Amino acid sequence: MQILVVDDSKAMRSIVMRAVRQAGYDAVAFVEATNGAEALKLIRAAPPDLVMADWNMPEMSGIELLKTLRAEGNQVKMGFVTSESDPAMRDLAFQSGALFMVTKPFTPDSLKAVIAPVMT
Amino acid sequence: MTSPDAGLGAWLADLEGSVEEIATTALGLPGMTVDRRHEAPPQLHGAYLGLVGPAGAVQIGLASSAEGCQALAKGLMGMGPDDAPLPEGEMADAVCEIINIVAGAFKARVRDRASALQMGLPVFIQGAVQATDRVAVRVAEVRLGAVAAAVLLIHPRPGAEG
Repeated sequence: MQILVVDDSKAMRSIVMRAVRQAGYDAVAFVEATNGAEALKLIRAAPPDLVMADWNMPEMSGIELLKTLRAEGNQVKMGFVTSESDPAMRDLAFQSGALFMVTKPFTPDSLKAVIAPVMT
Repeated sequence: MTSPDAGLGAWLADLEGSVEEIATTALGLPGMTVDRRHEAPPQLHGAYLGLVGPAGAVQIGLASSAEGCQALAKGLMGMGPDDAPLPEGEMADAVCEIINIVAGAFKARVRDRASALQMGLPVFIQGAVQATDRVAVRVAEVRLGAVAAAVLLIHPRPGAEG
């Protein structure tokens, strides 16, 4: 299984990848992108099994990435790992096709509880 | 956003609470104490992030010494104090991520009186923020575990918005 982790913070990409491994998904291969535009190119070239994206990023935000993918008919599994917890943003995320929205900070256990249903 | 001054004490209290929450849950630094509050921006290293709403904008910041920023960054990364220092760029990136997470917690705390706040992207600055005729700075000197830090709320002075 391959997961694309999209975040403009190298520190947070590392934390997300470590938490996924600590959640028991040792065999996952990771690909990294620093913003939505970079992620879009990677997904178009080789869709991963799951995209875990930040919301606020330069060049292209996470929600813009998701909307662009869905507008192209791309149904890659995608969710958000973000410091945003605004109910309106959560509604927008799920209406746009997100499968989960994890609020930072998180633990490996809380992350696992959210991503387990989509890790198949 | 409520007008400056009237609710600024509450805003700073919510910001302090957000920093304490994130220090406890994400940095492994529980038990924040506030040493003093004032309006003199300190000469420190720190990360700042803007929050913009329909009625105005504020910047929030978390600053410390170079060593303190290392400790905060290591806390976020799950590293111990004896681990080798992070390269400066990685330290700055981590402290920016901390203020990003703090901003999310802060937004949640002030949602009832400031909905629709939009978060900007964090920046790392070495040196003091300059207060001006238009912009004021409120500072809370805090201790996060053994780390001395400053929590900053940068806001328009009353009548200076626009």
